[in-house]
Amino acid sequence: MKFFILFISFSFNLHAWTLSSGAITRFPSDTIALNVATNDSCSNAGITHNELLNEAFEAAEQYWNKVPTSRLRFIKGTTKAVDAYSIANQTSGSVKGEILLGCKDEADFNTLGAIAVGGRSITFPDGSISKAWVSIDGSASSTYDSLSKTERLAVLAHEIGHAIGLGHSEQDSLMYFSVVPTREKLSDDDIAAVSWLYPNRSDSFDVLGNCGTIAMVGGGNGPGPFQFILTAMLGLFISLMFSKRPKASLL
Amino acid sequence: MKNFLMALVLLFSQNLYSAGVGIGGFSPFVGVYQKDEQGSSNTLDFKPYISAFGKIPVLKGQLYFRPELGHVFSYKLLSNNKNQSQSFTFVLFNFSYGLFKGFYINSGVGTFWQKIKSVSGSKTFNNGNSTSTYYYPGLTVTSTSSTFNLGIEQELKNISLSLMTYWFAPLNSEKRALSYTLNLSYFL
Repeated sequence: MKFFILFISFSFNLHAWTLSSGAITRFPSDTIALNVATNDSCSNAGITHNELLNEAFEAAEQYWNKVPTSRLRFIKGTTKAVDAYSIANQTSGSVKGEILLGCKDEADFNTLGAIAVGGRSITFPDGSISKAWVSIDGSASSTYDSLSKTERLAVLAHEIGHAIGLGHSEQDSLMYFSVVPTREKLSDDDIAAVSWLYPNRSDSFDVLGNCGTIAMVGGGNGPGPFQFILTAMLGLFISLMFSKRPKASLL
Repeated sequence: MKNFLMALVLLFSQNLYSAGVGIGGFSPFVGVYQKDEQGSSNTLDFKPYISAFGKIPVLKGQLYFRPELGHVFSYKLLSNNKNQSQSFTFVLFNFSYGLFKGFYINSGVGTFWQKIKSVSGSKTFNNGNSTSTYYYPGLTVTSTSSTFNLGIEQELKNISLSLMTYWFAPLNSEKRALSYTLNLSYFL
């Protein structure tokens, strides 16, 4: 019995995916550009700015762009010099609708004990993300270049996950708080998380799967015309199902 | 809109039709997500679901309109995840074409509503050398997806066995994903 109680006490009240903050924050647009700041060298991380841009986009394509139930889509941007870019002030160089990536040669990474960091800031009252960033450790002690290609892509995709508003997960997934060397795809937990935060549009016939708005229980947008048609068809279908009619003969 | 609804009323008012209910398993997004640390992807996730359908002849003896309503029961996402779950509700507008006695090819379009539920809370996790607090949202969100459907069905007297595939985001090469169902139905 005590083992059963112990099991119950440990297995209840567990969650998995999380958000970065208590308030719901998300990009207002469906499409997010990945750009790379060229202010700081990435040589200590073993890559060039263009390679970082390519790897970031590859990571986004391999992970986040594959979710059929999310409207979110990442596109490849450019490399560019920005006004200011540092871990202490990460968002100052980024602009709305982009995630700004870059390398930083700063002691903060040693303090953080991280290979990379990602995040976003919110300046709009509705919780829209105004600026977002991913910074790679570009210091002499950087271990980024010792990672395999698979691990680097997972690290970039993980930090992009933070930049779009997701927090850590307590179980094996892309958003798990530690690098898992064999992580090559999202988990069903990651898919649920991004679909929760950026769900597909509820008011259109979305065969392209690339646009969306929010539809929440207790709030959000009401049903659109397509859902109305479906509802009307359902009503007809159910009412006719329960009326007395002769069966169709089988072939 | 009015003409469309009128057409539906006429369609459903045909004298000959049948209806049935079914049970089966739903496998979402085959190969899209990773199941474990060993790197294996999902293939056969048999999530239980129920359905109800109608069958309305469009062309005598050959072609049927086969609308269907289904619900995939709520399930947990990860093995220990007790406070977050998801379920699917779907409507299919398929046509069923009889190839030979009792054997049909079904095809059409559908809409899936993925309901993702989360109970609010917070937890502190490792974050580099320190820890950070992260938050579980306390809202249920629905993501709506349209599908292209294709499958086969074998009828035997009052029951039928079907295998249906559902292409989510069929025109989007990045997001396109295949789900499928195995279904056993009973004609009422």
